[in-house]
Amino acid sequence: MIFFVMAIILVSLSGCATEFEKRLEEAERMRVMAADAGAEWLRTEELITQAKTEAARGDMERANSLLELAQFQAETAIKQAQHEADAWSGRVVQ
Amino acid sequence: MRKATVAVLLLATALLMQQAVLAGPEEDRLAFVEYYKTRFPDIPFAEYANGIYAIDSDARGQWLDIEQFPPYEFSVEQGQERWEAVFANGRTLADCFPQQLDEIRVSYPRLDEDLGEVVTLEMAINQCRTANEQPPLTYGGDEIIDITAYLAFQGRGKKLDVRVPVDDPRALDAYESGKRFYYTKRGQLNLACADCHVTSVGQLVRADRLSASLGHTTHFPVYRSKLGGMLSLHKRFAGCVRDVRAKPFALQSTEFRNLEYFLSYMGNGLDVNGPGARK
Repeated sequence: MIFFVMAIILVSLSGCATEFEKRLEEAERMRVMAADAGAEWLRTEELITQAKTEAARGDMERANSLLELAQFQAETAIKQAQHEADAWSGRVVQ
Repeated sequence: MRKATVAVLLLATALLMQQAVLAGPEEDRLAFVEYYKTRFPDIPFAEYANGIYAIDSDARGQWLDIEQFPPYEFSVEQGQERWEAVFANGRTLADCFPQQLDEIRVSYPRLDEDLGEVVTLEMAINQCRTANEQPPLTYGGDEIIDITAYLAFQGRGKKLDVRVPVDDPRALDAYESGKRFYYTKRGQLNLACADCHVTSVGQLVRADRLSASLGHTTHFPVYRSKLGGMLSLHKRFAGCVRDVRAKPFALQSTEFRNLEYFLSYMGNGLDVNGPGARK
């Protein structure tokens, strides 16, 4: 019985890790997109690094929370860059 | 009829915006100067070479006191030694620069015709070192800042005269790229350089007044009291980018060199008076 419970826990943990890795990959991809647009925010990369550290320590809740924030920052930075592609010209001193 | 009027108005607005974007460097510069002239009618143009002290009368007194015993003097002296140092092949940095000593500072930034990109003074120094089989100096490090401090000191009183050859698309591209950078909002605070240094110029940010961009490049490198050391222009750019919570570009990156090109052009006609002393 104990072995059965442990097996379930291990399977669910490995599932979390796989899900986390997918999210990590996606957050990193978005961060690189923001960086390529010259629009990366200051702490996005640091948040991803911290998320990896927390995941390695086994605190998946904290790791996912950090990753969510990183992803949000990267996505917003990309939207900001897209908006600014035209908007900047409206500020030119005339 | 109403639809037609709206369409005409939209077209007119679009044309005006396009004109603003496509305005040539000199039209940009004249508009820039005029903006500050309107904003601060009592401040003579030449005063903008003094950066924030042109518009912050309280801080100006402290600055003039500091200038009695300039904290950047040591850097200038070190810079002279480094400038005159002889490479293993018997040559010196001076051999790479065809200009008179006092003309070197105002000759940069400029478009290098062979490279097709903007070359700054720091970059030219490292190009010279590499050509003479010397390792390049670290951008933002004391050694290269000292050399630029010495050259700035030698060039004091010369006027900024940055050229953007309008018949060279590479120069125009670099200028436009710097201009775009200057007016683009970035970072978590969603601020452009222009938001602070044009729109909010003279306003307080905590205890500090926001300086005018006119003359931003004239007095670098500077001694920063709060850092207890010298600071290059690109380090200042990086600091500003970080302040708006965006990831800074590398010192001497294309982005920062083009920004320097644009800002320096805006300051054409102002005296070079570096190195400076700042809070």
